[in-house]
Amino acid sequence: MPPPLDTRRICGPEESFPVVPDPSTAPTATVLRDGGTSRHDNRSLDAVRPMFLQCGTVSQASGSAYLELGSTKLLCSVHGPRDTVRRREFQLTGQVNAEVKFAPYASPRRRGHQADREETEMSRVLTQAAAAAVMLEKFPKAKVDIYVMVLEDGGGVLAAAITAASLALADAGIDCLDMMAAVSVGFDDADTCLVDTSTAEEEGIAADRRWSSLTMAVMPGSGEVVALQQRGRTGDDRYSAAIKVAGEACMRVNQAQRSTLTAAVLETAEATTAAAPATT
Amino acid sequence: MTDIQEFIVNVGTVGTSDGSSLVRLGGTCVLCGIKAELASPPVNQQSQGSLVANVNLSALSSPLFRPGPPNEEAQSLSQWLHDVCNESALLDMEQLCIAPGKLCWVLYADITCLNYDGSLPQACLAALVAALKNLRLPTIEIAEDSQRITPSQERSVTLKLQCVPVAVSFALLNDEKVVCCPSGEEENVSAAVITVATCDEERLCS
Repeated sequence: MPPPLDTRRICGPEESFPVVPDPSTAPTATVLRDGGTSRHDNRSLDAVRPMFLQCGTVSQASGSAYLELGSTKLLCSVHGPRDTVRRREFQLTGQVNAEVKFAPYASPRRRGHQADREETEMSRVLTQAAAAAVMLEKFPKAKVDIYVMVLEDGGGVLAAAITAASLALADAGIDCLDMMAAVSVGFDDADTCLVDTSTAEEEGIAADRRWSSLTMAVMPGSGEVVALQQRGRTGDDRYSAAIKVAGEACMRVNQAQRSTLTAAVLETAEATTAAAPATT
Repeated sequence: MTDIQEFIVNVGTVGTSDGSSLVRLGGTCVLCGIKAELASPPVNQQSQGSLVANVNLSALSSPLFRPGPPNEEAQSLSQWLHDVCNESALLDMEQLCIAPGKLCWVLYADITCLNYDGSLPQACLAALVAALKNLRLPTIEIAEDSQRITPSQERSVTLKLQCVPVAVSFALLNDEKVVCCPSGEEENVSAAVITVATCDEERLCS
């Protein structure tokens, strides 16, 4: 059935379909290549992809962060604390609202403009994680909005969104109990745990029943878990092992967050000192 | 007054799209991504494809915007871009036809505003043109008997633009000074903002 006519946008033809390579010639998705010996991008099993983080990218927002993790690119901005728009949202304590949106060109298959189930689920997880980390009592009756726009999906999007959101909250100067660092992990029913799964690995995990995936976000100071999402059938012992591996990886992600934030703060401090008139 | 702000264009920014570009104009930052899909051509234009450009003024780019359907400004920007593309005959739509009457390309160009700081029409048009130039499409083969569609492995088809429309915004301040490429603050205090788009031969197209 063709999608309903959107009167607020320029619409294309009623039905169009994406260009899909011939399924009979496409290789089957595998988690590891070369018979299960190496990862698709030649990383070691516990290596996180090269990460680029930057604060203050969006000048119009209270705080923002841009994150690149391998080929995953996303931008997060935080607005607030600001007044709640609708009266029925009014609450005596502060509120946090997060939205994750994929740009239509972010995935190999074009996405629609309205939020689909995956985006809604990610938004919910991010909202709950942020609500746990942010000190809501510091801004009663006000709201903080976190918007994440995924520009390119290269795998590990939810983890990257949580990491970027935490950095953006810190950039906005919103009081938090601690930062949040998140990572995605793929694990099988034997001994293998892959840290920071890419799209190729995620597709392989989805296709192979022996593999499961886990996304975990922690507050590094206390080690408390703020978000945990697991997919796939697995046993207790493997699940605990994966959580442990994820926790260690989150600490490494947090190092990158801290160094970015420190650099940004130092830069702002230098700029303010340079701009201020010299006093004798 | 006539100085243009720092204008940076990067192409090929997004790997998952078929063509993309990032434009920075002062504080304003705009990303255009094009996804190409296949469709049947419309009945009245059997050998032409189509270009569908939409502007998304995302909630992250400014506290003025809320998530949800496009607001008035986004809708009018999308319509303006559509008009500029038509009036300037930017793209010969017959290039997008694969098999007349049966199959054509539909280019969905989505322009996402990442930071809203004035001169939006200028940045959006530049991003769209740059992304179209960056576009790489596969060659499509249609099997005669089964009508099965097979794309080629390589993406070697590029589009030829018939002209390169350029837009510049001007703001009128204090009823006397005209400023080129206004920032968000300047637009807010100006009496009027006008955007002019021209093609190569100095013809106005919007």
